[in-house]
Amino acid sequence: MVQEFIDSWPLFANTYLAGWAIAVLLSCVGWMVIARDQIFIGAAVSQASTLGIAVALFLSSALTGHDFSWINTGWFTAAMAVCFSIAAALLTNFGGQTGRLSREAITGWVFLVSSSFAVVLLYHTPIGMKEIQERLSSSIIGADQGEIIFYVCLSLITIAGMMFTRRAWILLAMDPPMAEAVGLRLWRWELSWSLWLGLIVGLSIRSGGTLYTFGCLVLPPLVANQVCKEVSKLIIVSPLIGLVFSIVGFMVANYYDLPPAQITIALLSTLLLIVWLGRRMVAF
Amino acid sequence: MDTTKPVDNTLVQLTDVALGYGRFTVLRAVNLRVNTGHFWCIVGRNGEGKTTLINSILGMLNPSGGSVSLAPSLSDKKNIGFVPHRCVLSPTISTTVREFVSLGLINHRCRKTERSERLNWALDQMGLFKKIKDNYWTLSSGQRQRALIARALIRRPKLMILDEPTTGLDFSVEHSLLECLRELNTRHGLAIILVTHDLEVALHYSSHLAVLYDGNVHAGPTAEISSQDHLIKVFGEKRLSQVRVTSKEAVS
Repeated sequence: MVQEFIDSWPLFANTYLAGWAIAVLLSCVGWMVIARDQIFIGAAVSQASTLGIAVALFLSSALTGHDFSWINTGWFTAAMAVCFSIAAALLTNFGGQTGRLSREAITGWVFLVSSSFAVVLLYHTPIGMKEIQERLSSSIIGADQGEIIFYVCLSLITIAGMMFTRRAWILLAMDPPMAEAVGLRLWRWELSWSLWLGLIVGLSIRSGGTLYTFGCLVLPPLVANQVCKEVSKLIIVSPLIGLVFSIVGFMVANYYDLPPAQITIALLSTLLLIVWLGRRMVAF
Repeated sequence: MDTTKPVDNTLVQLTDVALGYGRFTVLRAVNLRVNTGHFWCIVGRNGEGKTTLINSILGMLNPSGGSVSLAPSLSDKKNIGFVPHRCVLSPTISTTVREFVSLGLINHRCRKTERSERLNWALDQMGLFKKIKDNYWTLSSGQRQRALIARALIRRPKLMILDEPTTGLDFSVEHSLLECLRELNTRHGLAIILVTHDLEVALHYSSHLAVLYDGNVHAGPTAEISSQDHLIKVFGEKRLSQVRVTSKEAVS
């Protein structure tokens, strides 16, 4: 299996590297989603990012023949994905604190609006529809070397930032009133969190698709939470699990000729079940 | 908030403070001064503005009138310990007592040895030293409340603000927790502001009392405030006489 994987390296190196970098990047921030009990936010933000891609493709299709060549570039699509996911992260984090809509309700609304409009917009544009279906079915499309370097740098910045400010993040996740009382400006931290989450998810969707992005965001920290005694350990263990299982997942997928994103997420889901059952049995 | 007003051992001074949300005024003309070694209790019925008052002291709510002055030593909030009414941490997230209490050191830059020393001291004060490696969620509700107080104590505060820390605890646990606070107050000179709706607790433990009623605050030494008529307005004559008898019995 390993030899076959090594043989496939020259052909799929960029796809593998992009997938691993995304897995590390997402699982670095996923622990906050878990600690704040906002798992569904990951799905909603991923879906909003897909809507951003759909809007970009729709504009590209609608403005064909006009002098807007920049609309057809990959960077415009990426920018739209990031903008929509940031908007969704801001809406789900800041909305629902007043009025009759809870945060969960707004998260659900974002998910439903994004899912429906992404398809409605592109239903009569076959190429765009194919693109969206690829995102939804989570094909790991890969990336060029510049993007891979960007993902790796983003991962390193995220890890360093999380390690340096981990106490503040943990306190924000655990006890916002206490955090505010000791001088942390909550809205600034919430804004930073929304922007970073939106940026990371928006960029990851482009190369990884919805399932892989959502799965890598929540599954590694959920597994880590079963084995770690402290929240601060999650920050280290979660990206490690993300990296190891994306490597194993890609090897298995290559050997059995299966889709790598689905295999990785299936393995992580199974691991979560095993670890959870193991803990239950030990407790019993 | 004015933080440039050092007056001898005054930690917090509220002068003619009005507090509210939008056009709605919750409290008006609040005057009180918290000194080192004071044990203040803020009492009042639900919705009278107890939490609003402490939010203004913590700088989380700007007054619509008057001024809230903190001693320079409290201006960066490093010397303030806060114990919220409840912790919103999800029980599915595992954390140890060590990690939970250490979070109190946020915004404090200190070496690992000092960190560990502070942790041991705070846990020792709250009788949780043996639980240092335990999962926070395996603690009893009384022990969790002690952990919350230890998290505030680890900052070695000069002022500790507690928002109804004994809600939901049984009498003996509540009593031992309040005794711990009294000891910190008398032995270490820690100024305490305790929010409670239990007048019995307030009369028994406080050196100073702030009674909130109908948007007004009557504040001063406990002996003085507890003899005034407005206590009867707030708590009713029957309830008040019962409390006084119980309180005297407890003291004796």
